[in-house]
Amino acid sequence: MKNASYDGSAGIRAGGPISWAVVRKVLAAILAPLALIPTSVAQEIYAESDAIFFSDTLPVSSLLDGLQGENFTPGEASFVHARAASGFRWKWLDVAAIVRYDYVTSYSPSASTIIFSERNNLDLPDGTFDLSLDINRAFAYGGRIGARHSFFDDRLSVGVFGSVLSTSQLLNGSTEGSLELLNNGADIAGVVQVDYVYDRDLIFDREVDAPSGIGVAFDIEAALQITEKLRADVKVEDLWSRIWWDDAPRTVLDATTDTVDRDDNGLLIVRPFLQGQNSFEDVTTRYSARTRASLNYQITERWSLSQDIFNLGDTFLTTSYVDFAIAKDLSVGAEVEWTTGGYGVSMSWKKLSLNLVTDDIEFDDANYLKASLSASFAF
Amino acid sequence: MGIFFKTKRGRTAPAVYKSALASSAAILLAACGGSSSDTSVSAAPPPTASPPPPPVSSGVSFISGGSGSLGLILGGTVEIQDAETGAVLATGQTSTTNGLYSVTVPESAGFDGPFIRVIVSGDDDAVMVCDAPSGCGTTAFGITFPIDATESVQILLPTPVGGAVTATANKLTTLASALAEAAPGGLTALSIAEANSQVADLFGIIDSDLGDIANVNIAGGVLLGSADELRVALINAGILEALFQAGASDIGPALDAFVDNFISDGGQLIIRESTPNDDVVSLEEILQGAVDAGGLSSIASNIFEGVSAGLGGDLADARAAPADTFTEAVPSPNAGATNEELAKAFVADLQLIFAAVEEEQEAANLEAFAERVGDAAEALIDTDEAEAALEAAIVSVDAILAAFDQFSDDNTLTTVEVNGEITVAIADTIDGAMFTINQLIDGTAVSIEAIVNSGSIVEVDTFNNFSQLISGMGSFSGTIENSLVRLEIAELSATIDELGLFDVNEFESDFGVDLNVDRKSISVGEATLLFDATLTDLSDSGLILRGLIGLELLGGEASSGETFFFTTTGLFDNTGVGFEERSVSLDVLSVSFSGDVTEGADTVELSFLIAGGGQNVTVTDSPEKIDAITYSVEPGLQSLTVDSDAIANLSIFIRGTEFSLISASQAEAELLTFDDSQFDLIQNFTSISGEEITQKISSDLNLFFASSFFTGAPVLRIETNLASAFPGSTNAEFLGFFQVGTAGTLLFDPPDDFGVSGAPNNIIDYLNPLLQNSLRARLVCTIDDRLVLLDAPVLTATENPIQATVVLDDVDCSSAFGTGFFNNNFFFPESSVEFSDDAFAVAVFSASVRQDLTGIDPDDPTVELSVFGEATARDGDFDSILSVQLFFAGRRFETDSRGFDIIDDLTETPLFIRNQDGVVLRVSEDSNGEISGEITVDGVTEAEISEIAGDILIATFNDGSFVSIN
Repeated sequence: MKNASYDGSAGIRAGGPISWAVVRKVLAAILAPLALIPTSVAQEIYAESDAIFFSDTLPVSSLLDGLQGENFTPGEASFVHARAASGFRWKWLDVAAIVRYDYVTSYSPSASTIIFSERNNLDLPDGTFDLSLDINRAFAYGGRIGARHSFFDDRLSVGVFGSVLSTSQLLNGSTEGSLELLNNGADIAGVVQVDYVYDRDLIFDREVDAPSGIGVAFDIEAALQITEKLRADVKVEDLWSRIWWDDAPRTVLDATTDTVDRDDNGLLIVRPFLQGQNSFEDVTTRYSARTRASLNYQITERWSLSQDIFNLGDTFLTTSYVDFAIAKDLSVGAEVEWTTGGYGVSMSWKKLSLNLVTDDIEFDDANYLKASLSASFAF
Repeated sequence: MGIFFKTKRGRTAPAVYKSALASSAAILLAACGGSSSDTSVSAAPPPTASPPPPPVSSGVSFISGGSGSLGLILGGTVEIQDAETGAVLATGQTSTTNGLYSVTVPESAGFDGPFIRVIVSGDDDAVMVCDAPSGCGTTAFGITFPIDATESVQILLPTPVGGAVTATANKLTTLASALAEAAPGGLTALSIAEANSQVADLFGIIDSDLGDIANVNIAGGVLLGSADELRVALINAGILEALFQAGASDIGPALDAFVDNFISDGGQLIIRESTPNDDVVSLEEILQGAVDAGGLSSIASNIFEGVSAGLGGDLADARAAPADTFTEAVPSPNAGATNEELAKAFVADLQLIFAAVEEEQEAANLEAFAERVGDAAEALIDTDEAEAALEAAIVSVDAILAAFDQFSDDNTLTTVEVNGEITVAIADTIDGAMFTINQLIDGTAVSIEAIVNSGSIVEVDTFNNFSQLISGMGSFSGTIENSLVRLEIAELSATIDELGLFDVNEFESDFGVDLNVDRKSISVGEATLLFDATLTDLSDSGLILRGLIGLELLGGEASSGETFFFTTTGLFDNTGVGFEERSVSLDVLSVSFSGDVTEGADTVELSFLIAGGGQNVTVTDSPEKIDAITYSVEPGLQSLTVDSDAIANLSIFIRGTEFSLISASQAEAELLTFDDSQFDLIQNFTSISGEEITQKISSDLNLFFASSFFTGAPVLRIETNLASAFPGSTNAEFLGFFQVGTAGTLLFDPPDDFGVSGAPNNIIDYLNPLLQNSLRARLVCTIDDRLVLLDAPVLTATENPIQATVVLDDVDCSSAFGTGFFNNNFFFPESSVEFSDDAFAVAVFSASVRQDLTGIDPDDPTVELSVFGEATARDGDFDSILSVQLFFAGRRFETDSRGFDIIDDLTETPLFIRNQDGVVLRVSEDSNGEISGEITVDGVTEAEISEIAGDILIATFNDGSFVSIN
């Protein structure tokens, strides 16, 4: 899973940090054609928020508590996406202020085991542990502008959204390596390589200036009314994104237990257990793209069924929905997420929508949480 | 990224590795969802690169400061030259008081050369301080004498660019300058750096920057200095001593010749000569001079003691080295590198050291070896055979001394039977008298011979065993062997200038008062004992100890004694006093060993030195409760009036050779009974009544005078003819113990012709002007049921003869000891160590182990690890230093820390590690347990030290690169 990457930022340094003027030109170029498209959408103001917490490894509460806890399953992924937006829609135009927090990490199951054990002072079994781990975190706020248009007598609707963001809380990097334990952990051999940029030095605890960045992200969405009762929706968030950080603290680190060796002449060769480079660099990171595709079937005027699939990296979440329209402006629904066993309810009343899903009613035991709330007012 | 490779199986890595590896990954994941609101925003230090050396511009200006030392040159000429052309750029003078100079080379001089030479020389007004311990010709140690322009020292260094540069010149920098100029590539910055580094390596000086090490005048008193400064100063003095010992009459040409030899020998010295040659100055001779100079210096500091001990250890090594071999000094492998490179090389070397030591520990070679040696030695010591061998050795030495004593009286003797058991054969040789023993002594075969050089003196007062005097030189060799132990003595040579023993045993009176005294003292002049021997354990252990044992004593004296007074009659039941004391004053006492220990197939070369010194320290042990009887003193009285039973007893202990004692005006007395069996020349005093008694005791022994049962109104005078009592003596002692009874008044009445008007306030004041610095008095008096001791200062006789009437009048014991003594249940302290104002005691320990670690450098595998520890008590405060030095392949590392616990508590004592390149690592721990520190080069920080994962020290350099140290 490649959630985020940067390539040493050499290219970025060569070009320097992106300027607002550049961003403005890009947006203008994208949005200008859309201004010519007619629209049938009424004007309204709206506010919406959604958040999804998922980990196949440990409960969300443990994730938020420095990996402390008791419930642990060797896993491969944990992520948090939370976003809130408030704006207005007018005809084809959608303009909003947004704030978002994104944390995505993927790792090998053995890495999750060794990390959880280390954090909770648990004994590790003998064996070989893959220490692969990728991590990407950022907090951002900014503006979003988008446009929607319908084609083929409104049977196809397409939307494009672009965000310009001010970013902080940088943490992005990876570890790779392996650890081998023998004799109940008494003998150890291994190597780990770490390369990460950050706003807080987690290894050396250096006092550093937290870096800030400017980011751009684009989402697309499309809806196709296949038949009168069957509709397909696709949405890709952060389809293309870049965040440019100025003077980001970076640490590249190699650690090895194989510190002493001899050459052919018997000369002692000593590699330090740990060595690397601390630096401050202009770096570029990306958001992890997320895709959601759904198929909705209107059984009767009141009942409908939906099935969607959500993808982030190697993680797929499959959810089935049933909705019942109680009245013209009031409907309720239930859903089941089959991967996590999560279940939830939803309600929609006029322009107010609410959705809440979890795999365990006890928050401390929940590995999956999803919640959304939206409201709009047409005028 | 991340190609995993397996390490050696079975290697047990520190648990911290696991933690750190896991932490490296975990810390990233642990940040999930966490707010960074607590992220600090302080600016990190910007990366800085070491600036390249700026080019030398035309017409540089700088200030050169420092001093010059041959000994320290006062009022000498300072000349700064272009090192390439010899053109004089500026001149100046060294201070006439401290030898410092400061000379400015102005921009107007137009100098743009790469190197300068600073020469400090004599002139018409210049003098130098003689710091050669044996003196400089007719000039004694510590005294200045004129030097002319031919006598100079110099230093070469790269041209400073502006600012100031320290350029200290001495004999070591002179050697380095010549070595740099003789380098194959000629004079370059690298050749200068390498030459300085090689000379520093030669003499065990940690910092290679010799020009930055200030000259210290070791003959100048209380100056302090760093370890390098003091070592350089002592080595300088040692070179001067060696030059004079080699017959130099003019320092300049002698130094030139020494430098020429040094260069022709490739910058090396002969460690030890097989045959003394005045044309060659060996390292042993220099170190001997340095050690001797250290013994004469009055510099008092912990560091100085450490440096002296280190030099003593080096001297022991030099003595044990093969004769006529050369030193193998090498320059630092990092000479000429930038500061950043030096700092990184420092860390790399530390990693190498830690890894090598860890490998050694894992292999447990040295530790297991030490255990085996310890077990074998312990088993050996416990055997009867070892005890028998030791006893045979002691008996043999005693027999030879006794034979020498008889031979001194009758040099026609050829054999002497000692105690009817040991036969000592005597023969005259060219060197002196040779004494030989070849026989079995209690099952141990003894085959030894001793040569006592002509002119030596051994005096043993067998009559009363009070004193011995040994002086002269001799040698000792042979074999002592039984079924388990073989001791082969290749050579035992001794030089003892003076050894005096004083021994007083018990005296018991028979008239109701017991005075028990057991007092011993020893006074020793300069002594050297060298003992080259091989001790072989003939059991299966195969333990062999071979090496050179040395004993060095520059002089001192020690005494111990105990005194008890008891009344045994019913009249003064339970009255008594007792105390023990020991006092030690030693200049330097050291025991050293340099050699090797073999156990089975393994041999480890090691040396150690244990030294101690101190002065004016009194140790009081096991005092007993004092239950003395009150007496009172009435000031101003000229006669003593007491009741018949007022004075319980009065005891006077006088040590000397002749004195008079007068006791007068006693109505009735019984006193002064001496036991002839104890003291042959003691006279008896009995039945003194009514009239003045004048008794003169002539004795070359010690006298105990005890009186009791004064029943009248006694007046006691002591009249001492000091001229005959202490002829030529400067350290004779007078000790008086007075214990008086109830409600009495004790006075000593000065004779009319003594010229004293009025009553002296106390006996000490009275004696002081008369007996200065020759007599030492101790008074015991009582006030309100408490007995008080007064120590009198050392007194010296100034008149010849002196009639001193001792007057005890208003002895203000309370003011001497304070009101706290007015306690009805006063006890002496249970045990105490007392220091006078100028007292100090010091114990130092220095040990070196040399072992080949081929992994470090196959071409230069020997690693020398030296540990130096010192504990000092001065002014009532205890201090300690622990220093570790490690030398290998041109590297010289030294750690030092003060305090008793440097490893576990860095909050008290930061740990410093420095090396030959001027790199210094400091690590300390704050009250929160946070480890911090830095690595500096020439005082400029090149890396910060931090700690991660609880145990891993990280050095982060200015360029942002980081590396674990351990």
